[in-house]
Amino acid sequence: MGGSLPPSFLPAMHPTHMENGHLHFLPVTFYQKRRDSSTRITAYCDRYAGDENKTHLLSLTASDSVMAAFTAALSEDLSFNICLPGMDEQSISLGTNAFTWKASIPMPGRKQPLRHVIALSEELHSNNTETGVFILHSQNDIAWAVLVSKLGLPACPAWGDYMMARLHEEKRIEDLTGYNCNPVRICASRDELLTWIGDGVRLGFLGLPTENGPIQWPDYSLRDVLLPSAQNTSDPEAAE
Amino acid sequence: MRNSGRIRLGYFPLPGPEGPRIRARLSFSQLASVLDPCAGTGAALLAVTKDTAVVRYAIELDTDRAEACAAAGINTIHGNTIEVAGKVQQVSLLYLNPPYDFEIGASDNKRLEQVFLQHCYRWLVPGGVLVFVIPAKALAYCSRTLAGRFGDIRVYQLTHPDSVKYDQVVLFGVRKDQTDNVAERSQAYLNGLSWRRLNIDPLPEPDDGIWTYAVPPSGPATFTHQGIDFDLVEDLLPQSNAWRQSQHALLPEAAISCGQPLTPLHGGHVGLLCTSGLMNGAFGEGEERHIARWRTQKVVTVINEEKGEDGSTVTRTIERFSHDLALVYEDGRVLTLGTEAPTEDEQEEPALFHDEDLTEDSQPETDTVSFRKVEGGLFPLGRTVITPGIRELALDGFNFGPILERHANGDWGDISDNDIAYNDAALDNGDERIFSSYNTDISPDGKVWIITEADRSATTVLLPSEN
Repeated sequence: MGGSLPPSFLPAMHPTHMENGHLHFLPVTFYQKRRDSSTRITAYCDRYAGDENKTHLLSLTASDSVMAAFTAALSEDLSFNICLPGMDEQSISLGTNAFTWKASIPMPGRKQPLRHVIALSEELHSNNTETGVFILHSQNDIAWAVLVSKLGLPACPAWGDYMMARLHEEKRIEDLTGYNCNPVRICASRDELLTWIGDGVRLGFLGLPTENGPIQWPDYSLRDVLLPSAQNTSDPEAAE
Repeated sequence: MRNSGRIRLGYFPLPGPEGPRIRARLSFSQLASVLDPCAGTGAALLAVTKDTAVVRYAIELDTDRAEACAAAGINTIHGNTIEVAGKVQQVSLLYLNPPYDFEIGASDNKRLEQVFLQHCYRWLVPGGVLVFVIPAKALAYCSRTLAGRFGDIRVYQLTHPDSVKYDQVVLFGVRKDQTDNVAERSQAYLNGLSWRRLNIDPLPEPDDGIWTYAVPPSGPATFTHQGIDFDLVEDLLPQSNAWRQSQHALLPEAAISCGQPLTPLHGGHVGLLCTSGLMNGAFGEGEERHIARWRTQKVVTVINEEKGEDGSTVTRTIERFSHDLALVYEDGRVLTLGTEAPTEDEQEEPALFHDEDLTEDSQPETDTVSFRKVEGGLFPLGRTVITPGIRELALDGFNFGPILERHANGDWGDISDNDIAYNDAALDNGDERIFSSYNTDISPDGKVWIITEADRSATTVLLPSEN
């Protein structure tokens, strides 16, 4: 094997419309050598978020047997190789106590469904002040809604721009490496955020709602966070 | 299957010495195409077709093994067999040693031996030979397909130590659709072998020329790896259940209640709604106008206790949920209301009395309350209850824990000699009530009584006037 793949090995294109979907998946390889055998397999990643030390989100798709091996490797805290756009190939790991969710994707024309696995690091799964709040989309309104929800802050949706600017000013927003998402981690305690909210209200930058009652927040769905494709990556070179 | 097996893709290659023994049971006379859909390095396919003029085809999922297979001169497709398509009736010999595992879907998972067999058997020409290496227990899963689609079936035990470890058997069969009656008998036979109701003989040695399967001729075969339609996958992925299940960590939680309740809310209802985050919003007037937000937090306390002389440490993890409230006022004031996580000392000496049990909302005759266990007590206290009079005293700060301990330890307090004798007898016999009385100024009656029932099922703390 090796070298260029024969045509029959190339992913089949959609019969009716071309979306270049294959360009939106990164191969993730797993290699392990043992005394009596070795394993080298590939799954396809459609979403990735991580920092220098750790991967926090990995969304993988592959056939049944390959995904069985990947999930086993995830539970054993083994590492994989990935080549993110504009970066060298790197070894990634989700660390101990990673959480995984499996699903089947029925594919027309295939006897067996594809398997899909989402793996979250322990930090992203807990998503609280101790480890920082992870947000997959750095857009102010979504990021602010997630932050308010995770930390339980008394706040309004309209305060997003001011508070995110304040967080930038305080250098509390850390950009993470992302693929098909723009992940950030906000490292600020609840008390700090309450203080900044208080400052904003006192100085008149932030106003309470004009009427009493529940505060209506926009209903964000996964589609808002998982907007398709290349326009939505945090890698500057890929974005260009 | 264990993780280590799954990481190897369920790869359990045919032990080397078994190859020649299987080869001896096959005879080749003309050019034929042979296929191994789970080829590994191709060693097994080469062994079972040694010294024959056949065209070998292989499919292998693992990159390194697929490369080794191609380097051995086998026409190899690197990919998943299930994603490989081919015309029916192309090959004369199907050597199949699939992964020994189940699928990993959420439900209805089949054995992979069955999945691979059902996918591949149609590629055999009529009269083509199947050599199927699987664990004996998997025979039952495949028996329906085998019995209906193959004749002249023979099953033998492989005897190499590695084969014995995985209880591997080899099944020979000739591709030919069977009538229902024959298939039924054949299926019962295979199930009997799988469930060990029937003995499985060991595979004969190569020089034992009792029988062979004749591999029929066939022309070149064509197989195509279909791969994954990424455009379609990209469209379908956002609907994946895996995303839905993980969204609690990725999206803001929607918790809001609107509308008017059918009846006025009781104070307890309001409390529950508040603490569950369903009454967040803007409230109040003037300077006191504010936004309130509740949240629920899991508090984990880890206590390390050193035990024994060997220095061993016991780690206890206590988890509890706590609610806190944050307020921001119109003038910029910010307030938080919540509970701090208990310190280690507090965990070691928990409060005898839990204030939350003393709400004003309900006034039953007696309340059950929680106490830490009285260490070294002379008798069991059973369920501990307090009367409304004691509840009032407790709300005023009276701690009845110490007198309860005295009671449990045989200090009956301020009672007569007769009562002391009565208690001592009850303690010995274990079948009478035990009564204590303790003088205290905080009681409107000047004393508090404690009575443990004769069956030790309950202990009541009460005022004398409530008796």
